[in-house]
Amino acid sequence: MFDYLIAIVTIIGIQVLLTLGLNVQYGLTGLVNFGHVAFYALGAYASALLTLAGWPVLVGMAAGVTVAIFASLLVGTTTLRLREDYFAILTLAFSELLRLLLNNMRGLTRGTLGIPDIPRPLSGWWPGGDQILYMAAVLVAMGLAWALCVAMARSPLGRTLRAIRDDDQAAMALGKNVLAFRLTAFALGAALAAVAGSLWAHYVTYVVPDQFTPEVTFYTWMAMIIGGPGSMFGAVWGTAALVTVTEGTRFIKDVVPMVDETKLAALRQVAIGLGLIILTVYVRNPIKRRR
Amino acid sequence: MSVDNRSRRFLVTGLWGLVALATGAAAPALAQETVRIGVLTPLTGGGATYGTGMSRAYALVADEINKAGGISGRKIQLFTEDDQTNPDAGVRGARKLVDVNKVHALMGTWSSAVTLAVAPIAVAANIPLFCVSSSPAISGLKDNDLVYRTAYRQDVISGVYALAAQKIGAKTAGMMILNNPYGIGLRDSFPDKFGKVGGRIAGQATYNANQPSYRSEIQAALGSKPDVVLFGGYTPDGIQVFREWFQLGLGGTWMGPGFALDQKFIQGVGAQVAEGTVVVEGAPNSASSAYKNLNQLYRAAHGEDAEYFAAMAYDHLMVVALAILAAKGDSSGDAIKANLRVVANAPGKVVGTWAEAEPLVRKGEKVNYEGASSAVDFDEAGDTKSDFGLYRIKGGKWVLEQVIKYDALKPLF
Amino acid sequence: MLSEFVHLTVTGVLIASLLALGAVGLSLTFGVARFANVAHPDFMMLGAYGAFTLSTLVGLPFGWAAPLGVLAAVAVGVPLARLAYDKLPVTGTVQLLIISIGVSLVVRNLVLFTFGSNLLTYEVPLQRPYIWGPVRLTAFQILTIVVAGGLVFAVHLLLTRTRLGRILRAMSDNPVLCEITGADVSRARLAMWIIGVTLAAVGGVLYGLNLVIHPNMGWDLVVPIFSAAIVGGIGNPYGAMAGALLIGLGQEWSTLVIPSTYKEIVAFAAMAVCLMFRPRGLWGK
Repeated sequence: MFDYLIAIVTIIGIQVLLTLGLNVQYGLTGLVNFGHVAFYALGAYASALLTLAGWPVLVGMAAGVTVAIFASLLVGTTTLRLREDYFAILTLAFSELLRLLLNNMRGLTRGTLGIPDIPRPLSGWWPGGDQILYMAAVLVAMGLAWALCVAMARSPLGRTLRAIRDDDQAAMALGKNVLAFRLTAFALGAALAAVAGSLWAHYVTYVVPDQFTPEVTFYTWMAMIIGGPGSMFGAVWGTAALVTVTEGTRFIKDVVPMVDETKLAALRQVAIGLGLIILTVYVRNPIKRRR
Repeated sequence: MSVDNRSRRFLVTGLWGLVALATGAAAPALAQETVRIGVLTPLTGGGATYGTGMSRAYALVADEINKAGGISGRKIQLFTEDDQTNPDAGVRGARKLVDVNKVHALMGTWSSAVTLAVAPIAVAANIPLFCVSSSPAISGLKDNDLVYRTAYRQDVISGVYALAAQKIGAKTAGMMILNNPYGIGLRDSFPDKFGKVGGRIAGQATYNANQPSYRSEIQAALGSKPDVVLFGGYTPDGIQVFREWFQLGLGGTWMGPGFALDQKFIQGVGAQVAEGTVVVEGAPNSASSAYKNLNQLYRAAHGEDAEYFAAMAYDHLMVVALAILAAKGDSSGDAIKANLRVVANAPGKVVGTWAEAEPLVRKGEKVNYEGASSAVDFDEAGDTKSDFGLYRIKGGKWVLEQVIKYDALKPLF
Repeated sequence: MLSEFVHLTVTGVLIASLLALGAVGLSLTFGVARFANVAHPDFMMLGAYGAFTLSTLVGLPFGWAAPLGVLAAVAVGVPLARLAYDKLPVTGTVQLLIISIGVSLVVRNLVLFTFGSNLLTYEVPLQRPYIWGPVRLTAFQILTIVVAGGLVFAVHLLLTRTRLGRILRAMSDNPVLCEITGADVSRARLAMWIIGVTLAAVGGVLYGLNLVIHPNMGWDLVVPIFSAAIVGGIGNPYGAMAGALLIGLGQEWSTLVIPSTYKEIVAFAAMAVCLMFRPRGLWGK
């Protein structure tokens, strides 16, 4: 049971990084990013490939962050000028396009076979305590990211982002380069997602494109909405709550045996869908859009 | 958002989570004496059609053994998790089965990607993992002899297809390949093997699952009118591909694996479309007492025949149960490992059902379990080897035409 | 080589017909209701399952099950859309977009729960094609193309020749002005949903007739359908059909130069390029 809890906490830690990234993009800046998983994937694959080529994990992580930032700038410069729903669709399409490429560029990514045997850092340092050590590393990363996000939210940059979110016309009138600020937020969120991806790759020690579907993005949206978009603390506890409840439903199954597992899995997705709808409607959103 | 609202929601969700976790923690405490089997199989996602059959088969075996008194008096308790044909979900499911339910064995992973992701967890916990995945990478895993499979490696099977094509007199072959490790493995190895028996590839196409239409790919694969077309996909896409092929009126003969061109496939496309298709599958199969027993149980419970992967599932749990019995009830990973090949491989009296095997093994006699999916003989890498049958679909059923022996493959490798 | 090209063209037109039925409805609702409904292709799925239920489970002959199935899908889909998108106290296109994701998850998984994940087909006999040189089409495939074209034409007539059509176009151009003039905006919006869902449901039935039915059959088409609607220009049904042809043909023809597993890139690329350089689409206002 203890091992299982360690695993859950590790997964929560990684997911919090994803949620924080999305929160910077949407919660602070109002960017409707439906392609978040793409940067997660880039971080994971870059880190996996580099560490397997012999580089240390931190280099792999840095590479992942660099690639993600580069990709976000590429995508952002072309799409951030558009209406938010077009931006949303394009980011979704981008993440699916990336998955298509990962599946097909077998020379680089081994395609649908995936990349196994990714090295796990810190293993062997404390015999028997591998999992705990890794969890601690993830929590440290999470803590640093959280502190960084909170500091940023309170800084002049954060204020500008919120201003742009609430009324971009006014911000422009005040002489702010709205596009540049949005790109910054987009890139920051992407960087956080890439760190999460790198931590994921080294945790599971295996990456394959099927791990990086839009479901991950929507799950992250749920976590952010639960905690309240715009709140960094909300990103943390919202994620923790969502993962706990999702994992928790496994156990109800053990105690109350259901007839058909497939049906139960479908019901869980229905619950997530309903959750998205209800939360979107009834969570009082600090974002007030000028309509 | 007011603070009250937020903390209240936090509290409520947290409490629900704790309740759920607590029930889970209590569950294993109530079940000390049982043999706990972790079923990790795709119930949703691309492998859902197969995973459902597999989980049913596991349940039927557990039920049958428990009704007969269990393994040395210990009942089997199944814990099932859906791996969603997705490595991420598979890892979380495996963690729960291993860490919380403390299962003695894991079985049922179908997708090679899931198996590869979950194997390290099984190895770290020193419990065996039985899969039905076909990636060659699985044989080479550093797994302390804990990972076993009852499915054929895709590089072996391409040799079988080559021989089968030769036997039906085909000199040219087209390929219709699903874009996944199994399909691509086939695409990479079949031309070489077919070349070794004097054949040549004339046309091929690779497709993604869930496309709205496969017309273009079918026309590419059959464009040069090859003597036979190799189908490297699964039942769901197979149904669609064959229906579209038929409605294109292109003619030609298809050849493919038994697990894709099974009864569900024949029902899905209709006997007319399936007529004349060559099916390559492991033999023995329908002749074994194991398969007959499984089918009897499966039909009674679910009203249809068990298909190939369900048969493999049956074999997984049967060999584990027999291994534990041979170890006098010891269900540790080491005990299962030590006794697995003893009960599954020759020499020994051939058995296929618990009723046949239990009295013999209990007395310490040597048995050789011949399974529902194959002879279930494990080699050093944990793979099975067996002979193959070349069938033709006639009148909506498989009709055995020839047997391809395992040894006949040697010159191709 | 020429025959290969013809094969691809025929397939492209066939797929475009199915995409068009989804894209035209999406173009209409996106233009009038002003938000991206990613659950729109799922209305196709509802139509397919509706016809399936009535023909295979209830036992009606397919000639009756098909139109009644569409009706059933409309009876379920329209109130659902009204509830989720028109009646909830929501304040923005982004929220509606997120809600539509939730709707899609719920609808797809309820169908999965009820019917299972198996691929289903109608109990209609498979057909042999008519063959004119390199062109091979079955009767149902020809029917699909004709129906798609006919329905799009009908929508065009509705939008240009009827009062309802004028109101819808006005709502698409300037909703505030429209309300001020006293036009019955609420009824028009209901009509918009009915038209959109009907088109999609018919598309779904035809899809099922030609291919197979499964819970994700609509979701798998989100990118091509959105691409077709956007490229054609939101609010223009002919544009959506043209967009569908562009995407359908483009995807098939692309296999002449890129591996077939990269086909889907065409829809992404078309949409991205369009939004970057001409967001209103080729025929949009």
